[in-house]
Amino acid sequence: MIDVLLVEPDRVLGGIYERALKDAGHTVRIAGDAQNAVQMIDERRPDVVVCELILGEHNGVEFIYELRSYADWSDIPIIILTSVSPEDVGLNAKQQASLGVVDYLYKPQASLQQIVKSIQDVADAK
Amino acid sequence: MREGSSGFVVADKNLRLLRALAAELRTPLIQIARRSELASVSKQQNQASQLRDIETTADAALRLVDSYLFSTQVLLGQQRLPLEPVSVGATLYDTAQYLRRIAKLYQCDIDINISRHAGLAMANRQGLQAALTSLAYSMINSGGEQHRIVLVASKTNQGITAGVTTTNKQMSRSSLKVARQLFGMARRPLKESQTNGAGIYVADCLFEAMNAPMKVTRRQGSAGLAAVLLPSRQLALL
Repeated sequence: MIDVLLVEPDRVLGGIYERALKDAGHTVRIAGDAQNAVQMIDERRPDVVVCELILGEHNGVEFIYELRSYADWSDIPIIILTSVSPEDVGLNAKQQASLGVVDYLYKPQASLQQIVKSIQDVADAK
Repeated sequence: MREGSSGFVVADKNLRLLRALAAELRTPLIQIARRSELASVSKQQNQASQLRDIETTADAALRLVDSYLFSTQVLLGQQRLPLEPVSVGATLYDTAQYLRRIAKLYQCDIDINISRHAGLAMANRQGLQAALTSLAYSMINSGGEQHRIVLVASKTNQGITAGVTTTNKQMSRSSLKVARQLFGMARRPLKESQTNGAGIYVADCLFEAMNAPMKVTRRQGSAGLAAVLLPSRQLALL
């Protein structure tokens, strides 16, 4: 069981992912935007951050860079779970790895099973 | 303008709109797909509630598709919007009725505030309903926690105002401006909220087709978008 911070602006989708991850035995908190996510990480450091890249006012990639700029948080694994395809983001595998992105899941194609597995991989690596 | 591989020449503006509409419709479809997956592994009592939510999301997505198809036909000149005396209050009431279920999933309350004197306006009922649906759906999607949306109809000196207000503070003058820019000249996304502006743009075009340009409104701590429709002259005859 690990502590997951889900950064997901769509409340309905957030609720669905939360249910699936809780059913798999994980603790889940949801942040609706980047600002809220930073506050939540400050309150309690999560084991993994699962992050959408379309975050309203903020760009998700900027949020990831911000996270990496803090020494205490620079090693938190990040899973990108987004509606933006990797080609559109322009983040290649090397850049993802350098940012500590352990998995890139494209929402329209990522099943709950795949999402749970990706989190489990982080738990197993701990 | 650009030429596609098949030789079609399409305006960048249309491509952006197509892309934005597809992105807006993708969200409910992802919700349906993932909730179905969740329902398939849920216990029986949870399954019933999951199925109800799937039905609600699918209904909302279908209404959105209808609104967008209708708007596209209007934009392409394939559909005229003949104006006739329409009860703005009744249209608002109907729109609120079917938006309530999807709003509940987003923990958003929908209210209606119809002034007694709102009366009949010169509008197209289907166009008005499609515009209000697009507008309200955008606001439901882009609101934060526990926000409230009000469908408003009131009589002013200029005519009959019909629109949607929200307690979401992010809805501002620039939301409308950016939505217009998005499909007019700029490539930048609508930064202030989760919506990409497609729903606002669609509503704007439909109101424009009814000779009622959309404007930003503010009232009692809420902000929103509304259009002023001309009052029906039938009223004057009564």
